Amino acid sequence: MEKSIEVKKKRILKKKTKQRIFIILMLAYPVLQFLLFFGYVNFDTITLTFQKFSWTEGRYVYSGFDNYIMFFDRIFNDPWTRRTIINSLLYMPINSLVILPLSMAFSYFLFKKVPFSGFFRVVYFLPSILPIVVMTMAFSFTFDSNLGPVNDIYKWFFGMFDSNVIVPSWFGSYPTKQMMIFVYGIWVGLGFNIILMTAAITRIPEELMEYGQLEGIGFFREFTTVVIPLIWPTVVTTFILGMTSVFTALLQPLFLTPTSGDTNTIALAIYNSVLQNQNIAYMATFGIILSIFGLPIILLTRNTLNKFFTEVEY
Amino acid sequence: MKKILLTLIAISSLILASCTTTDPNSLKISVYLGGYGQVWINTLARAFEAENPGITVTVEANPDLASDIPNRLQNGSPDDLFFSHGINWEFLAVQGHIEPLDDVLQEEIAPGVKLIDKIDQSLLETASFNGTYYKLPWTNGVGGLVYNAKMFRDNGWEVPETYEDLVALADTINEAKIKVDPTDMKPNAATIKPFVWSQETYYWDYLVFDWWAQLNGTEFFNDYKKAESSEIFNPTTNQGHYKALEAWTDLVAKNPLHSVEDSVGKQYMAAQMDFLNGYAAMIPNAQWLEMEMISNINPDIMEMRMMPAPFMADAKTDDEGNPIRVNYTVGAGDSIIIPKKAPNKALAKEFLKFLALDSSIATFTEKTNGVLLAMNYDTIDLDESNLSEFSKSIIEINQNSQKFNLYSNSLMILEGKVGLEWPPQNLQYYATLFNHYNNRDYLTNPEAWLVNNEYNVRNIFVESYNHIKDNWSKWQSEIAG
Repeated sequence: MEKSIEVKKKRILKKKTKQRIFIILMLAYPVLQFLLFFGYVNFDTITLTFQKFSWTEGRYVYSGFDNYIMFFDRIFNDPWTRRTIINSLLYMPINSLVILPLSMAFSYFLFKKVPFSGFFRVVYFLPSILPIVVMTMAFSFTFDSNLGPVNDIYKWFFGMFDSNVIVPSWFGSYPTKQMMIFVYGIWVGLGFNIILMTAAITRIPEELMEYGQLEGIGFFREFTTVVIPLIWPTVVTTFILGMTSVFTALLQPLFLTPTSGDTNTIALAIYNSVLQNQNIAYMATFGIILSIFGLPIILLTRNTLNKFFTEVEY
Repeated sequence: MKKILLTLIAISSLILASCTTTDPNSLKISVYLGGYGQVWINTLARAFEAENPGITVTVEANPDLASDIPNRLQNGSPDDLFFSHGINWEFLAVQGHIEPLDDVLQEEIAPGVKLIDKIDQSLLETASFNGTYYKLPWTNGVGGLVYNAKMFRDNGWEVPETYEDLVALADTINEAKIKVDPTDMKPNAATIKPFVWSQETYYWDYLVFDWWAQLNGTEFFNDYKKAESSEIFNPTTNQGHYKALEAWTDLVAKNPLHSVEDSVGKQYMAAQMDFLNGYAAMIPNAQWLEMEMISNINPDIMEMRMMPAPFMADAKTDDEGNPIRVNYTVGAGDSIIIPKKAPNKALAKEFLKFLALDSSIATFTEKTNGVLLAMNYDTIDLDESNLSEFSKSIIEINQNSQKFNLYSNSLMILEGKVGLEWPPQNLQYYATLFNHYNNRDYLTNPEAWLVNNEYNVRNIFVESYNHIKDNWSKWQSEIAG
């Protein structure tokens, strides 16, 4: 009897050991990945902010808070640093307050199967699946004086009121070129958000929609009182992703205004710095300081937005 | 389980072995794939193999090579030799990632001729840092105004010799109002403009810097490039810089209708297509234009040539009183380097010596449509039948001009505190100046508008100089030795 209990205990122990090994193995990969790509990378970046490159020693040496002092000095004294930050900050309202509401509305229209919704679905999605190099080239060529139609239309329309009409330099003068980058962002960004929103709206139970229709609510009320509250977690996630574009906006200015310093963004400045192997420690400091300011704002926004509607399971 | 582990270990060992084993008879050359194409390196690779039986040369021609090189140098890669622009080689050299070339430069490539003797002497200074040579300069480029010779001939326009000629020519072309498409009957049909250019406004540098050097003399740049004090930017002593930009302003910015509409906002490829399609007679560009656009050139409407920079009225003169022809070396920073961790450094050095042979130099130029290696061409016999007229015009300028460049290994420059081209932020002012004048009021009544709105170009340089002077000590202290 005792022997069989002993055997059972051993079997349970063996099973538990196997389970532990399994759990450890399953957790090892994500934990290692976290330690390497988050822990180590961030530790290394923070360390770098206290260093500068020594040309005599051929390596990075400790420099105290020099990079931080340089950053604040440039914030106050360098208009180009300020413009880089302002340009980057402007991506937040464009993404979160323009592209997001528009994509919510368009997703709803597509969901309601308005006439030509299939066609519009393709029109919206196409920019999201084509390479950004192709899209930026197609977009800028549309506004080219000889290759695209926009300038001719502009001259024809405004020529009716002013015979000396001059077409704006779409990508040649600031702030017009910055606005054009945002227009491009809206055009291309809609498709991605619509995919997320459409997926969220499609999950809403049909009975809920039918109930609303039986109550006689119109499109607008259905959208605002049924759809938005039920897809709110997706809206919040997309809103937060839009906010993070302050730190990630890179390819649009890079491809649409390749040599323009005045459409610079934080990510583009860091990208160029890494590409040229120049001022990497300073740019690491730039990124860290802006993250320190940005993170609480993003967390606060998320917590505030989450209070708007109670999350429901369906 | 054991079997799986053993198999994994065996596979890993094989992978490691394949990574570390090097074949002493194989050479890998990685080349930036841009306007020069890759025919030249393939031809030279085959010629090197033919001259060295048993040696295999593999070529990687990669348009994204420049951004990849730092990683490859730091982490090691199968590359033995890199040809590329945009390598921040000084930074990588002091970290020990680039093989010094002092030894191979002293080796003979022909009886009594060392490799160092074959390097273009005006570019030799761009190859050393802290007294050690780490690179060979790659090309000796030419930039400036490219023009459509057929259009010039058909309309009786002469290639301008002086700045005044160029101004007059631009007026003539603009006033002629020749339709780009003679069959286009629309009242607003496009007419041929003197210039087309793009957002990549630095292409104007190739002309404007020539004017700067004409006015200051090329010797001026010897001290300028040392960047030892903020005084080098003083517009009182460095007058050529702002006067050259003033000349450009008078020629281009103050005449917005002399450029194809919205040139300042064009993508560079769109601008080049406009030039090829006959929308403009001239384009600021460089030696790679023909090769880059070769498949789009219609010989019925386009015969491409480069013109020497027209002379400014106050250009420095030689002993006989003739203005001195100068030419800014485009791409003086382009490099040929051997990684410190290259698997076959000895063979890579042999290839460098092979590259400096007269036959290789001629092959490079012939296969790149006239691009010159940064080598001495005195003994090179180019086969003219292999060269286009555009190539010949490039070579003519290159060989009959005093060359100068703006390469500097001053830490103030390498750390990006100031730029020698356009201090203090290395910004070009072309777009600012062009946009200033490109407005409705100026175009309808220029005299009245200019009374209160004339842009003082010199002030740009005065402000820039004051800014640099105020910050010089601070920037110096920011550099850690």
